[in-house]
Amino acid sequence: MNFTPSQMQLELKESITRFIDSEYDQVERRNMLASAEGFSNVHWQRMAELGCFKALFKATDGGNGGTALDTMMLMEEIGKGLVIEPILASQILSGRLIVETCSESAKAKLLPQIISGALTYASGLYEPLGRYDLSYVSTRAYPRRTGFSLTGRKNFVLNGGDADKILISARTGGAENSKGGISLFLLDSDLEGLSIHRYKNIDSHAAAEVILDGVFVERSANIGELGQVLPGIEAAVDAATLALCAEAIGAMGELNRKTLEHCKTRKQFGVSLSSFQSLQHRMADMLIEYEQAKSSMMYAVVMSDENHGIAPKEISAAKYRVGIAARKIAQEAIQLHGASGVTDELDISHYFKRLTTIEVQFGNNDFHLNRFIELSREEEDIN
Amino acid sequence: MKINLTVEEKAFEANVKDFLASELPSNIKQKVLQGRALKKEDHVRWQKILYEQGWAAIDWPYEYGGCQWSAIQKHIWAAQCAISAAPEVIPFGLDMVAPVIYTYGNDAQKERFLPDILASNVWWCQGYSEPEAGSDLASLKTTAVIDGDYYIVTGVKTWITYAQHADWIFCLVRTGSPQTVNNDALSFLLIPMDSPGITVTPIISMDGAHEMNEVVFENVGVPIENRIGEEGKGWTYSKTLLNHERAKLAHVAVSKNRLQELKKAAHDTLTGHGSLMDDPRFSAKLARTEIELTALEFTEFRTLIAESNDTDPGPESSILKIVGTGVSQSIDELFVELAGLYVLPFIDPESAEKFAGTQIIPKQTINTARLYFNNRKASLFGGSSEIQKNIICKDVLGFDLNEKRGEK
Ligand SMILES: Cc1cc2nc3c(=O)[nH]c(=O)nc-3n(C[C@H](O)[C@H](O)[C@H](O)COP(=O)(O)OP(=O)(O)OC[C@H]3O[C@@H](n4cnc5c(N)ncnc54)[C@H](O)[C@@H]3O)c2cc1C
Repeated sequence: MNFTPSQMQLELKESITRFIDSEYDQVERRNMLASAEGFSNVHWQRMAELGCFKALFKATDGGNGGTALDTMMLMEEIGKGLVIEPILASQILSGRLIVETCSESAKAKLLPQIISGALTYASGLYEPLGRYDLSYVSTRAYPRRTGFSLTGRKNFVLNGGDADKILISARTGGAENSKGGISLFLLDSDLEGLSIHRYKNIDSHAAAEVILDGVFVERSANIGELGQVLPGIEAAVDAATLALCAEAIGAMGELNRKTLEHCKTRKQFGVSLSSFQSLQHRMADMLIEYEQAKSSMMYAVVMSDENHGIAPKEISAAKYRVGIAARKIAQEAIQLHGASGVTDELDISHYFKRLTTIEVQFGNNDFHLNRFIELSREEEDIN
Repeated sequence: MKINLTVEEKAFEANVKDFLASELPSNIKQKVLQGRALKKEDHVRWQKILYEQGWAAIDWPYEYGGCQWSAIQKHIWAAQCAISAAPEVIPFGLDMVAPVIYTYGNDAQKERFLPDILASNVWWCQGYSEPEAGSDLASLKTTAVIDGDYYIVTGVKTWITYAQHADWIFCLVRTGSPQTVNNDALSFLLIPMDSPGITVTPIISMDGAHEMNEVVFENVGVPIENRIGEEGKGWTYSKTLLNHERAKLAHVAVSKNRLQELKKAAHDTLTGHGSLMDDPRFSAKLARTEIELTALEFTEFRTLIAESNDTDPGPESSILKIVGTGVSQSIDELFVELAGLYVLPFIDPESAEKFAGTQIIPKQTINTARLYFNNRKASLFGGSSEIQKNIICKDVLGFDLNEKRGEK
């Protein structure tokens, strides 16, 4: 079991921390949130230059990292800094989808532009009626003479309104929620019949609903094996889920730090808040939650790296445990800050909203608890 | 909680139902149903309708315009209001300042202020908290110094709900000399918001709403006759008031109704293995919340009965506030769990319905995140949950909270 970061990983971590501290302050971030774009191209390019994106891919795919540990080290910093650039939607989820499903030649064609940051991607995998079920795909791809015609609706597409390219899961066979018959298509965002409704999420990250109304694509737009991509989608979503867990850990660590600092400085009844034992215990609980969540996240990272990126049970365990801690820590941080905690002005509430988002993304706590139970049963049946 | 009603009580209930069905304006009802923020005009319109009916101030003594309802009647009223999605009455005038005025004010003050409060002709706000005086309210620093027939008020009040709408603010201010021990130097002043020297600055909450404000007083002249009761007694007066405020903050009837909505929504939410109601994890959480809420309802009922026997709500009101807040916040969380990914889009309800002709969020989850965010305040204002526990520790359990604090 190895979770000691390499020299290179530590250096990357340090340069991201420096970038966030010096160029990514909260005032700047707020201006960005208010802007039409919703994130900064300047920051995006800087992150590419620093090597953030390269770290997410294996050397054979044109990167210099590609392990879960690499992702974890990056995403913790992203979480601390409340970074809103679409690294999760584009580089991690979409990048990983390509890695998991595409031929070597397709990868060689697509990945360089992701790793360089030249293009951003989005992935439409969830549908309005499917809740968290990735095999619920009612969007259909009908074969045409030279390609396919796509019709259906995808929602909650992160970065969907801003991406240059969109990956869409669509059915080429099978019933609405059967595991077989799901295929992946790569779409330009300006195709005829494609309407993209951009909106902001509660955490100010942009997302979109994507409606496909007889969108015609060439045969080459089908990437991955026809009708066989569900396992690849699941692996990519697992990787993104684990990345989110790491981001949450970064955000929770920061909330704990800020809350402790606040309680040490804020005085009521002539003493600092941190002198009240009832509040001391609350902060001790916040720390315990953080450490337990961090351990389950790190365990999933290690298991994932030891099993070629596949560790669904441990990832579900991590997402569940992180989700529990995220809710608790976010709520306690506000409570211990008092009224200033519920204001938009303090970033405490922004961390709260990001953590709420993370809790519900890629499956909420109950979803992952259920999934953990199912996977444990399957494991027991095998043994 | 089911109560067997007498014939008279049943008739009363029918009467209340009829009234709500015919008099509650439908656009206001719609907003409440969708969890949308009401405008000032909406609140005033509804409260004036209640006034016309004689039901604006059910808790007031009869002589000032109260209703003389029994505990059961009050219970019926609250339940029916929640079921019909009537807005909750804005408390600052009717529930907060009025009891202080009719209990401790002189006749002139009662005549001057109570009729306008009853008829919702004036909007009040509560000016207690300060940047350095939150939980430790008694340490507040806003001063009121006598100059002829006036107090000259200077200081900063903060987090003041709806100060932007208010015609009047009731304040706790420091009179007396700086040497006076903390709470013996506080007085209760009524101040017109259009007094020269008052500045109101908005504070935006995490849900994007503008509820709170900072209110700065710079040498604001306030006639001495606007002081309620004796100088230096403001703390005692407002403590009684806080007990009234807290008992109301349990929001039992509203939570009950929301829990019903939640159940309905759970039946309608598909998970791939039937409805969310079929998920044992979710339905167990619902059941636990319902059990807690029913117990709370009965606790509240016990206090209502005690109150109708003329006992003031004492420390029991702290229990109501703590548990009531907890239940209402867990209902928020269950809505978040129910909504799943639909928690995320942050779209105002008006545009969500028209969104390119498609409904982007199901109606029942449209305000889930906003309500969850907004209601985090419930465990803070009106005395935080921690402060309520301190009150229980002191007043019920008899602990000395200052004993050896922080020493080893
Ligand atoms: C939305 C909103 C609306 C409000 N509206 C009004 C209004 O209209 N008028 C008005 O006057 N005020 C209003 N308030 C202010 C509210 O009353 C205060 O927020 C509350 O009194 C807490 O004070 P504080 O925010 O300064 O927190 P602090 O007093 O700084 O407390 C911070 C945390 O420490 C805890 N704490 C403090 N002391 C102790 C202790 N001795 N033991 C254990 N824990 C302790 C608190 O419980 C809290 O969790 C409003 C607040 C909110 C959030």
